[in-house]
Amino acid sequence: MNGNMENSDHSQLMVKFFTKNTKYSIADNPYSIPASSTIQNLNALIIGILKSDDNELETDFSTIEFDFYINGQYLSSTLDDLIQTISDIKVESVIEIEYAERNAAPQPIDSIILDDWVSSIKGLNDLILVGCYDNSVQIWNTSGNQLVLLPGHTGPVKSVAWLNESQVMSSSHDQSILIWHLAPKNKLIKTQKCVGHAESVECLDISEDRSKFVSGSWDKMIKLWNLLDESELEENSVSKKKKSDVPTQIKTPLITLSGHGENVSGCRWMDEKNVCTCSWDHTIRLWDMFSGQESQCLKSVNKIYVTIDYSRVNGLISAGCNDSLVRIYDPRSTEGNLVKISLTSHTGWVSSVCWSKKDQNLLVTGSYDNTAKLWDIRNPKTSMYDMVGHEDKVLCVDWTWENLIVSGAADNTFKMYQA
Amino acid sequence: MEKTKVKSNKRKSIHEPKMNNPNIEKNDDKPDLLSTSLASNGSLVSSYNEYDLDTSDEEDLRNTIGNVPLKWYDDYEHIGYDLDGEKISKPANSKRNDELDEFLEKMENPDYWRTVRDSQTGGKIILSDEDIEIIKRLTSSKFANKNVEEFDTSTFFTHDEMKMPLSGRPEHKRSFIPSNWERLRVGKYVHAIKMGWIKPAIKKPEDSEEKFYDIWADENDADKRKHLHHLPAPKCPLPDHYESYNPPPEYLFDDEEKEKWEKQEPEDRRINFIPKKYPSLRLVPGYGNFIKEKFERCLDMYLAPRQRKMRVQVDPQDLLPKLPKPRDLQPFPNTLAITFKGHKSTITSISVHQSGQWILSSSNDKTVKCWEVSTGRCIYTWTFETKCVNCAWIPVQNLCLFSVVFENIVMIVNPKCGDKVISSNTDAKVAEYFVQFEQSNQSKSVDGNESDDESSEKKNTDTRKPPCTWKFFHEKKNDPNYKQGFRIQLIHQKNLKNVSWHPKGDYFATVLDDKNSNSSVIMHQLSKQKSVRPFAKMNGIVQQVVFHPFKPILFVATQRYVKVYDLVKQILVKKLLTNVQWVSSLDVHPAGDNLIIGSYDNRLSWFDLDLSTKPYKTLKHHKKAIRSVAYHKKYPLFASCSDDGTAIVSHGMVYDDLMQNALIVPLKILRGHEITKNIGVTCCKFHPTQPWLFTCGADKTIRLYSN
Repeated sequence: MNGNMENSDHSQLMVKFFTKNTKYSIADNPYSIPASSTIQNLNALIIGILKSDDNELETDFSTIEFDFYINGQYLSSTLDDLIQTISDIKVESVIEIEYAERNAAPQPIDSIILDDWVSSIKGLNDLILVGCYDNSVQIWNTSGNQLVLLPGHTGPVKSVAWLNESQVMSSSHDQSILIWHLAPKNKLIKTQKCVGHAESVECLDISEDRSKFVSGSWDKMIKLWNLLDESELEENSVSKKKKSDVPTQIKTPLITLSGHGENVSGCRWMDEKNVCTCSWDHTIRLWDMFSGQESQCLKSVNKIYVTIDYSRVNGLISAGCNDSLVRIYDPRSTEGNLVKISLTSHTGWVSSVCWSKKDQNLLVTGSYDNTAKLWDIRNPKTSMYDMVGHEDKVLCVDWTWENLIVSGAADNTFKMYQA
Repeated sequence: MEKTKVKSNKRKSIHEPKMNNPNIEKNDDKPDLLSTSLASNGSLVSSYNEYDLDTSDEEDLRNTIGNVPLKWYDDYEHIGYDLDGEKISKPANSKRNDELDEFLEKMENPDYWRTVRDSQTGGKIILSDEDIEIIKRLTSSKFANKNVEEFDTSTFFTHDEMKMPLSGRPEHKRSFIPSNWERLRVGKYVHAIKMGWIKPAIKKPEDSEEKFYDIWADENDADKRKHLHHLPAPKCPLPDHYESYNPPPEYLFDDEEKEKWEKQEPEDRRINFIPKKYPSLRLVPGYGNFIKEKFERCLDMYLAPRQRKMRVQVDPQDLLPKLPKPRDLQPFPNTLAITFKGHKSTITSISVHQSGQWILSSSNDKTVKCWEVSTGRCIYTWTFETKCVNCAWIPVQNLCLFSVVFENIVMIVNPKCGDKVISSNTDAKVAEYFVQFEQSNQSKSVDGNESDDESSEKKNTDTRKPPCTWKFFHEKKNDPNYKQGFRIQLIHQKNLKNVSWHPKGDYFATVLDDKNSNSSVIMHQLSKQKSVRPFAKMNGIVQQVVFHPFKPILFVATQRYVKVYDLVKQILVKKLLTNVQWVSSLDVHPAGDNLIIGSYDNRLSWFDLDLSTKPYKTLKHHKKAIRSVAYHKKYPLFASCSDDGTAIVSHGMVYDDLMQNALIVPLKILRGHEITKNIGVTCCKFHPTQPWLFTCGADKTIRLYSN
């Protein structure tokens, strides 16, 4: 089958292949292959086996490529090199190699030019919510049409979030958070203004059950707000907006949590109860929102955290740092302070991270080095795909349930990719 | 016993050439070499120490019978032939005993168990205790020599880097194959011996050699050593190019050099003759000074005290001060993180807000910009009439103001960024000042019967001209300047260099760009809206003034000196001698006891105020003029930036312990700024809380270097 493989005078390894995808499963036979096999050799082998099994030649294997993992570690060069890095594998025994179909490269859909820097971006279905430095919040659809333009902030928008298809939130340099209620035809019905922060509100995140949200600000505070309790809302009589007939309501926070010593740069709900926040004071803190207490504090060595994301699939926290690393922590482990994985190949501050909603191993990051990268955490040395094209700092990325990746940058554009 | 030749005698013949006739049978054994004991059966058993005698195993193999069993010689008197073909007699104790003798010996001889038979000579040897020890060690798989440590790997694995590391390469195959060359060579010898070309060496009768008595034998070693102490004569210098008969033209004297040479005293001349060019060696005349010079050289060698120069073996590395490695002094700024772009001309100064969220920059494009640090986004821009020289935030949290200097004006501006409450409080406070100012103005104008009280300008009624006039912008007048955030304007008589704020935010001092005036420093108080000249007389051009972080002390950097004034007692406390040509900038350590200055002659000097008035340390790392220096407020860091386009970050640890001097370690050269019109980096400032450095330069950018 592979003449050149058999001819090579290197040592042979006994391997078994298995996969989680039943579509590509092969018989559980051990194969003897040279230790110097590369990913291409293995691919040829697997596809050869699959072809010989598939008598009717139903599937076209020419486009399929596989990635290979041993004990959850990505095979990047040769089998030999990888096996030497894994301590608990014996060369004499049969080595089990997992193979999985390689994720296809994200396909660029569109690039849209706005008037100003894109500070934050969030996708929902085929809608994209964009926060912009020209104080506006905009909703676009994936075909590149602007649906709504929401002016109302008096400072650059720093963070946005979807409540549902007709309600969105945005936080801004003007120290407020606005909740925008839209009518079916994208007409603005009313806004709710959340006041309480004393400096620019850098981040916000809505809990899974849409009942509350949390925000972090430059005033070092984290505030928890209620979304359900309508009775708490009061009519804003002092509203001076004469030209807009949209009613505005004022909202105040439920709890204020202090603990961070510097700018709170990111916050994320982990479950119904717990929130993780990251800050410029070199810590990630986990908070119990029922009791309002800090439950854990992860410290780094003199590096600030710029952004944070939590994956509900694998329960890991990923945080972007100013030393161009993405650090991944496991909050469940007892030695939580230890970095589980560091993703290294960015060359600027990592401004945003977003886990895949479906795959436990994938995440996308955006950095000040003008690139967004798609990572498989089993391969922390290099990214899987680099999404280049932005001409200035990438400020925000998002990865939706529908596998839409969006990235916004300081070159006034946001780009869409289908993962 | 008598008839057997003792094997050891032959050994003696090798090792003791003085012995007259080694082949004569002897039975009196020298006790120092041979300790023989008479065995019970009468056979002589030698138990000499083998290792004292032979230098190698080859010595024993003088028997030329080859590799045949010794028992073939059992019936003979000899056991073989030596190199000269003579018979080698059997040793006395080589006689084989019968079974009975053997048994008796076994019973009676206490050393029987340690007696072995030498396979070479057939003699018996009693093994010594050391031999037995060696055998025991060998049988228990240990090293024969007990001094060898078994698993001592220290000689193989050291921390030193080896130039030629041991290689694990297996030995080449050819090292196992018998050498063909050697075989040919041996064949030749064999042939030569067969042909009779090589004859056995003819022994010299040793008697013939005369013997001399060494008369110095008992002279002690110390005397000998004294004479051995050789001092080489000083070497003549090697001939140089100018000594050639055909020297290269540059070695030939021109008229000027010749005249100079002739004027000099003969002792002062570097060369004691004039180099001259000849077309060929044949034409070179005799050297006139030859005899004289050789005589002088002889005199030198005769008279000169010979002295051995003791050269000290010093590793140059040891002479360097022991400084910690930069990587142990983390964190410090080391990589370019963000570039702030937007200015259209040289940026003259920057100032970082207390919170670390905003950074302010003033530029020659007549604008001042406020930037968001985390993204590099320009948030606000203010435009002024002329080039902005300097900008500075008020160093307090509860006020939201900054000062801008352009031409002869200081403008105090409320940027309205950050906390809105603080911003509005600030406006309220400024309005309060305005009311105060109006009132005091009116009272003064009433006193002085002055009529121009319409404008909110203030004129001191002093005999001297007032140092500056204050002007407030206020809301009521619906002033467009007020909407831009402008609050107070201070108009000076001369152009200004810079402004520095008191840490409490009430006072600030301005420096006039004035070479003649004696009072180029003016102090302003916001809460009383007053300006005073604190110094009646000031020698030298004032470059910068800085307030002490918590004491009422003012540091004034003039061109050559740094003067330290006590503001309460109004006296000069100290005058620091900088030893530089022109001081460019000054910064005071947050603890207040140390300060650094940068100078236009590339030097950065660190002063310890407790130590002396001279620099504690001077760093000359920059290649061009230093424009600005800065201390970090929290971390033990300081930085300097220069026209060579670089900023240098250094570690500057100040200890609480008064006995310990500051530790200064240069850490990192930060590059990135381009040099434009010979101006590189104009200003550097640290982030208030993070170990980051901001620099701005003539290339219109601000750069943030983060850790």
